[in-house]
Amino acid sequence: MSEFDTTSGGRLAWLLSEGSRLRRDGNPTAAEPLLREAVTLAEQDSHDQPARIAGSLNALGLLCKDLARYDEASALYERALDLLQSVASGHAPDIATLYHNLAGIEHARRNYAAGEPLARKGLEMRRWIGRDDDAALAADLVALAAILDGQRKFDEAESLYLDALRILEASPNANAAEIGVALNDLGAQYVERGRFDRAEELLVRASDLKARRLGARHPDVAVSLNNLATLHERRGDTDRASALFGEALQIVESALGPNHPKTVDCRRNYERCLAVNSRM
Amino acid sequence: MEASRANEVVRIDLSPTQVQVVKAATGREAEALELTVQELEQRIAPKLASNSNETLLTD
Repeated sequence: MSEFDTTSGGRLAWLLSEGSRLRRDGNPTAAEPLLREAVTLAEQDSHDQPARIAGSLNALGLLCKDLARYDEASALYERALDLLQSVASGHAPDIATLYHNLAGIEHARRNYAAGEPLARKGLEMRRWIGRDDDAALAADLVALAAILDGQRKFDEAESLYLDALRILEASPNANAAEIGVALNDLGAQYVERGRFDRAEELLVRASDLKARRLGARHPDVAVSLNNLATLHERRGDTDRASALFGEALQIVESALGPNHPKTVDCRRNYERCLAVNSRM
Repeated sequence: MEASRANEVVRIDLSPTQVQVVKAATGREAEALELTVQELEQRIAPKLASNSNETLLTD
């Protein structure tokens, strides 16, 4: 799809495609005007096509989540869900994805108990649909597992991660970034449970995969570096930990700004580790 | 979509008018588009994208 298709539908498809690409590449500032225009255009010109409007609302919702504007993201997903549920049928996979995304907002807010039923509903729908969208099913499993981890329901979460990784590693539809998220989250769980050797292997794989797929300065890479730093800190290697915490902080601060929750968490980790180091 | 077909390539021949539009917009000569089945499905009937719940450890 390119910008030279000047029909309204062509323009909308280009805005969504380019805005979503910029968002995935970790450039939310450039993505925002495109995705806002997409919503405006879809609402003006696609009254008879609720899926188009829902697609635009969802794309902007994903961006708002990345920017930690959780109330706005949640409202956009709810509007998309209402639209798709108001039409006869045929949108079950997208409705499952919207439940997944609403659960993601609660995960980001650390309201894990509120996110769990939404994530379970999305996963249940995906399984009921029964189509061969294995990458989407695996993404649902990982998303629910992360919410269970937040409630320290580690055994069920571990089983979901392992199922997801089996699916993703066998799927031609899966991309490296999705596998990277599953490896990161399972690695983080193993850090929490003190299984440091296995955690290190997973987190190194996660950060390498994400760096190859998304670029070394992408905020998703910083998440895995932060987790790897936590692992070294808990092993007592605070020199190595502080270097990795510092690298993660630089990446998220540059990509997301100084006040984003991920930046705040990474800074707190870095400063705590430096303080421990200075007392040694 | 069958998983085994996701990476099959589909060729779509462009009409003479489409060839001219591509040339005018990009300066490139193109007689056809080639997309995988997965890419084509995403163009014809794009599905909604999902977010990721990434764990970031804190103390």
